[in-house]
Amino acid sequence: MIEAAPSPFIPGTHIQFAWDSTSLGYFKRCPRLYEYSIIRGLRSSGADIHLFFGGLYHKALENYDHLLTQGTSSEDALVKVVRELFISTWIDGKPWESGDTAKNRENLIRSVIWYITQFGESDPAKTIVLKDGKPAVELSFKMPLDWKIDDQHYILAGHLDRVVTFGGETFVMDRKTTGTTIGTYYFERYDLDNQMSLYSLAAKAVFDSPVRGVLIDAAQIAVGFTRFGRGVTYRTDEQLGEWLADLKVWLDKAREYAEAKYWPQNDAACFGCRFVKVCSKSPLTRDIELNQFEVRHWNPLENR
Amino acid sequence: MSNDIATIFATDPLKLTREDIDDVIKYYREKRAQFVLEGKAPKKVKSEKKSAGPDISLDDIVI
Repeated sequence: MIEAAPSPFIPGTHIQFAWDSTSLGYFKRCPRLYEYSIIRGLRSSGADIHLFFGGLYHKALENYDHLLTQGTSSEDALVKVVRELFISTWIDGKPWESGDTAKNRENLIRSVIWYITQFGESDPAKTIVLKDGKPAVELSFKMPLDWKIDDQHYILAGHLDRVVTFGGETFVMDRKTTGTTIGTYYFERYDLDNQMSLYSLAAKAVFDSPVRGVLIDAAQIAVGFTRFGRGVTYRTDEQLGEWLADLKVWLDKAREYAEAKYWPQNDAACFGCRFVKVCSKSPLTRDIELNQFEVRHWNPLENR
Repeated sequence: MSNDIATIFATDPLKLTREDIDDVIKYYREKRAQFVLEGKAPKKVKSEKKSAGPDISLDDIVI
């Protein structure tokens, strides 16, 4: 039986002490979005095919990395992960039907086979070995910060796919699946990305790795093909220091809103938000709109 | 997708053999090879666009 993860909130309050890039990202974008997504745990109804597809893609490549480090041949590892994908996408006695022309069962299996065929054993990004002798794959971290609330340290949590050497430098590698064309424009968004800063910080602080930043390992999933691209986003020590200083300000703000039990809207950040139709309604009728969402709480302390 | 591969995708995965998985891998590797080849193929050179205007002879110009 899997033990439930502890709550990321100070008991009896909405003050979150354990944060990850998802919850931090919501808060930075819009406190009301954070309230709906994290405090109230509201999610769009029905399965999210992008999360399902992306999750299985990640898992397959993680398993492949693990099998290689255990001495399995590349070909045998590929056969094993493809078989696991067939099994994971067989739901209630039939093939998973995503209803999407690009992110579907066939293209998931195609993408993993194409990735391993292109990179596989000859991948120029090599997994590093940590000081304890273990390969740097699937690294979950919970990093306590110097700041406390009551007697509880704030914690930054997350999960690194891999730490690799690439072009003579060390990076966290993070895999992404997207429907968009991968190019310079795609990678530029990560130069100020919350998640990439947090990962760079964690790799240095928790795993004592001299990382230069994050190597984004992107896959464009299209109807008839999968195309891969890699880009790097760097983080200097000074940038990470600034990010941490800003984080303190953000966490103080989050505490202030939690104590007031009020999270304001940021009406400059509504484009593409799943709650835009809710927020555009009168406060008197908003709760009715919120009934269309289901409750599934996001917990940064949950083990993956 | 070929009939054999479609059959594999429609089969309960617990009944799939090593051969079935190998066939799927081979199928998609061939697809990838085609895709890579198409990406490297030289693009067709566009033919010169003909002028849309009338041909004017020097004899037509009145000074």
